[in-house]
Amino acid sequence: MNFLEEKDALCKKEEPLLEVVNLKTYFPIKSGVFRRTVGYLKAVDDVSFTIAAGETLGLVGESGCGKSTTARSILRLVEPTDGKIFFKGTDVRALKESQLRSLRRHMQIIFQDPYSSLNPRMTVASIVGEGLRIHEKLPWREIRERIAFLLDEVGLSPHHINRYPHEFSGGQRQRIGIARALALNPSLLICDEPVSALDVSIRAQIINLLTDLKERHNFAYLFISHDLSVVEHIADRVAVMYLGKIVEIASSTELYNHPSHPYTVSLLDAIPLPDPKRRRNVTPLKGQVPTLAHLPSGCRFHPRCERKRPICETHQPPLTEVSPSHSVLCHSPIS
Amino acid sequence: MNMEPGLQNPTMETSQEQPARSLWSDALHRLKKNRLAVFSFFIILIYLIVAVLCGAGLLATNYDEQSYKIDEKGNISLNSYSPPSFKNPLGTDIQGRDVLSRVLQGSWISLRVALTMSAIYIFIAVLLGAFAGYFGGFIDDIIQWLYQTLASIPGLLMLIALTFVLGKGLTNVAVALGLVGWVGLCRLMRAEYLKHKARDYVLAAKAQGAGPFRIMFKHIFPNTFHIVIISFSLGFVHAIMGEVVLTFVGLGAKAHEPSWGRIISEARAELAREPAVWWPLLSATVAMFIVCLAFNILGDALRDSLDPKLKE
Amino acid sequence: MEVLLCVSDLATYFETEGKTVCAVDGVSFEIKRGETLGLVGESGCGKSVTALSIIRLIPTPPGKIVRGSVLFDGEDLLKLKESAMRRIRGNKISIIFQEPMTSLNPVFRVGHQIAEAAVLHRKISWNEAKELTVEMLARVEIPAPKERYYDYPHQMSGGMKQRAIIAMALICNPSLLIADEPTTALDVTIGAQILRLLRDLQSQLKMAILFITHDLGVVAEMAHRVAVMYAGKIVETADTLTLFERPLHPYTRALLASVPHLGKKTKRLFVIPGEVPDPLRFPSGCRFHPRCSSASDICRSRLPELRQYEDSHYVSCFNISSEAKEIPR
Repeated sequence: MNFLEEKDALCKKEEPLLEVVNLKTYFPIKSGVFRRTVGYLKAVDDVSFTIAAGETLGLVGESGCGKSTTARSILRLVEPTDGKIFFKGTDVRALKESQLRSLRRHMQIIFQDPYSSLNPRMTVASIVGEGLRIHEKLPWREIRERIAFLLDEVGLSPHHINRYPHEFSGGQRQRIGIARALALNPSLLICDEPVSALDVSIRAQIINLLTDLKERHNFAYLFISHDLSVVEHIADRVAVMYLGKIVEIASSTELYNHPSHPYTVSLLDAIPLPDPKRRRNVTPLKGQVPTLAHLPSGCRFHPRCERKRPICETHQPPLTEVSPSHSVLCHSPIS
Repeated sequence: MNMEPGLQNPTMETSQEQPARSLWSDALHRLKKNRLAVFSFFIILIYLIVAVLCGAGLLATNYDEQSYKIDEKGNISLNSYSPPSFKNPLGTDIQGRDVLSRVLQGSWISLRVALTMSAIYIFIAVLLGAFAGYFGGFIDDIIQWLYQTLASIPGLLMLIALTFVLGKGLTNVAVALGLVGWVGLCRLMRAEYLKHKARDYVLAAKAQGAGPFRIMFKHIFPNTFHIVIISFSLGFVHAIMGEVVLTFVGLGAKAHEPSWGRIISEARAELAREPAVWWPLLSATVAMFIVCLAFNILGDALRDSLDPKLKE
Repeated sequence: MEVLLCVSDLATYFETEGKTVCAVDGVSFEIKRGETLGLVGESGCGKSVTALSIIRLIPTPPGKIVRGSVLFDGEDLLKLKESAMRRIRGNKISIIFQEPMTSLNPVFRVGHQIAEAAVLHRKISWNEAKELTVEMLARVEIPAPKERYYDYPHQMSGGMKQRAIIAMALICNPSLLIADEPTTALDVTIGAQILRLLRDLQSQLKMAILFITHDLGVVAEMAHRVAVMYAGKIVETADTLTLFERPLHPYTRALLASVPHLGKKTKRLFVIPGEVPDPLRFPSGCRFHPRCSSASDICRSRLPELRQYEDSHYVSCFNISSEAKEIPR
């Protein structure tokens, strides 16, 4: 624990809370009797970004683009293959298992599925209190008080402390998951599609809860979603991922008003708007999302891209800055 | 449309009235609805009570007492093979001992064998299954190799071999049964651990800073415990039958021990007599049959009611 | 336009462990020929059960259609014999489901499964059916349809499978297509392709669509008219423009306000308090009243009827007159 608090003091003001540099997470593809590695699934391939304290970064992409793997790699819930992750200046990848465990209290995660993310055989008290019991040597009575307080904070009644997860609805379960993440008072909360599995009317409750909690505690969020309209609502900056790479990263207003990558444009166009007057008439993006095992050469988006040039098929585009705080991975960005 | 949203709107009216119910109490509730299972449970309860009373020396204490009879000429001889009567409801055996008492005592022996065996095989199966499933990789390979090897040797042969190594006798039979019987449960536990370790709640526990042993035994184990219970219930049947088979081939209970296996193996000769002495065989077989059937029914009912498909 | 499907007072209940779940409880609506009706609602509101009741695919038991009528082309489907119903299913009325992964049998070739529907209903030979299938695969914009005919389902991506399923549903040229959340399991860009395809096919084939979804954006894009369902009942129906411009029912209004709009960033989202009600314990009176800001005593005790407000705008609420002034955005 101490090494982190020392770092905290040393941590300069301008240093970002989280810095991810050239992160790569590959999963080996094994085949044959001897399970030889015949190739790699490049789930996360050279991803870099930073999150400042109190900032919300939205991470957007379609299924299989590597956004969840990125989140889990940051927490080292899956081991990254290469790259650096700095949290408050500490190199997360260099930590030993025991140090990592004490670091994780500062970075917590909220999951998408409110059903599988809560242990069905544990009471709300033991689910929410688990982190406290591991990290703080407090008497059970005090832990219970803290749990009751946390439940209240996420809009649940403290009466529910001895209930089991199956007695709650999806929205309430998601609140329990949030209380669990809050218990250790983290400075970074990774939200992995926290509202995707919820009903429309419950979604707004949880989004507002997350907004309120952020205002109160000044968390930083890494907010992962496939839904651009939810991300626009909550994020300060947005990164768009496609097949393991961040193809565009910019401030929220910049990205939504001046998208530069053809994929971002198509993604924005593809969202059905709840407004029949704005019924769009753009051609939807053609083709299928390629699988990670069979990545296209050159720019990974070129088989679906309308602005494709010969260079796109052969060379990976560099990350270019179109304006300060707006970078795009494209040979011919839209200006 | 100015409702007070967000934090201050506790949304609880749905589940306020019911008391907290764990999945276990739900399962018990379902189990109670199965009449046959409840009936089986009571039979098992009676079996357990009888067994414990016999073990404590409070019931059927006369199982080893020989009885005598006096014929018309005044000769005293062993009251062997007396058919069922008021005095001996299930008759007597070759040495004039009461068959009912011996059958009752047999329940205590089978219980001892079953508990010893279960303790051993459940311990091995849970430990190895959890390690194999949770850690995977090299550890998994070794454990899988171990149980695949074991499973490829015919069970009875393995049991006989082990009992020869350990020595004859009931305790060693139970130990042998335990050392051989863990493969099935271990496979199930490994599969369960594989399934559960991919669940988000395990990731959440990791993210909270829980170590591997805490995750394996505090978080995942309660989710697999129903399998242990079912296996335990059905395992009783294996223990009882295993004792009978091993005693029958001459490896289990010694001559004076009133185990069901002993009674049944002695019946070989008795049935060949003229008139046939059928009551010891019938009594022991029926006792074994009823207990095994009850355990089987209860085991199946437990499987249904503890269905791991969690409530929505 | 002529009315194709007229559902009136349809109710489907499920019996589980001695309790009755009123999944659909008195639902009425019409679909005209060539029209798309969007049926919107949250999970458990009964929209899928409504669809399954129309084509009588409710698993019985535990489910049972307890009352109502479903007039299709003037014929009450609920009174038909099962054999007659089979001739309608997949022929005059087709259904596509949310999960493209499980809707195709993994051990048969995709083309074969599509052709089978044609052989079954149109009494044509396998060769003709194959030709028709290839034509249909081309119509749903599957590239190289002749080759894809011999694919197995696992060789296709999710979007391709959903296209194949659409081809299978349309091969007998149905007059009604029921689409139950056809894009929910797909990625945004793929979903947009499928929506576009369905719109194009509808204008070519002149079929009616009952489009079931929870996504207001999808409804705005697809539907001519919309019916909003809540807790087993339809609370509001109107043509799409009217519903989105002048929603009258408090639930519709709140639902519209609680969705984040792309390009219209607000500080806080509007929130409907409370939970979606448990179908085992629907509230008394108007089923939305525990979550409604304008609920009054009558809402707690009496169930409102669906009443007409404007031309083809029906709402079931007691407090329309006071509420119907302006729509918050």
